[in-house]
Amino acid sequence: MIGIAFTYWRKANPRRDPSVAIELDRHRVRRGQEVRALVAGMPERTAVEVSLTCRVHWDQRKRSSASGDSRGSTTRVVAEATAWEDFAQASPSGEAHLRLPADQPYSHEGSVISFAWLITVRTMVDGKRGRPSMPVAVWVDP
Amino acid sequence: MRLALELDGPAPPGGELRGRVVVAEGGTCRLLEVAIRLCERSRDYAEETVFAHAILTREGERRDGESFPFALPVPVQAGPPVNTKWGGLNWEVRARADMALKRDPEVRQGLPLTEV
Repeated sequence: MIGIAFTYWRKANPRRDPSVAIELDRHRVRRGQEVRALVAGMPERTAVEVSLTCRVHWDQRKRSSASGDSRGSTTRVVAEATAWEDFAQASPSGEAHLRLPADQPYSHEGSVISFAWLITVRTMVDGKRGRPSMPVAVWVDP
Repeated sequence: MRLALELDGPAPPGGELRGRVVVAEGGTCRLLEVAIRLCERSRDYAEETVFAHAILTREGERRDGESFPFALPVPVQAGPPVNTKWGGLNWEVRARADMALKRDPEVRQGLPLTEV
């Protein structure tokens, strides 16, 4: 039981790499424009991958199954998915340029559906991806 | 009763949208209104939020061809429609007449936007 609970908790709280961090030249950008990310704490002779992700949160109807005398019920829950993702390699100086796609959703905080843009970095050792850093949010205007 | 929506042209976010509601087929209504609304939808739910609203006329007989001009502020966050497989959002202009004991006639149009 504890193992199942931990699995769910870990899924919602993934391990983060505290040794690398991201600084952006700006936190608000329009679709089609570029944002410059600078990786701080980048280890020497290690490749660093910078990812730009659009996360979508939407309201979903979840049905619980009927059991015994109960007929089951529905609840409104928030589901999450990756709507779009792209990766770039940071230069040896730790710099990466990321272009916000013009044909993807813009940032929106709604009551039924929301879109959030996040930038994370992770080290690459022998072709294996390390843990992601804490994400940095960027607000994308239409 | 039947309505038509005529917009003077696209407006920038933060600007003003001008147009008129035309009575295409007359009738008696309790209220005639126009609004800019955000329509959000997911696979299972949909919600609409009014961002700007104007009452154009109250109780009375409306004749064919009668026209009611309006000007509404366009929300600064308004943007083009977004459609994904999980849901989307759409900004729209809606004119509606409130009818007694009848179905309310309405007309909807996507909010036409220009670049800032």
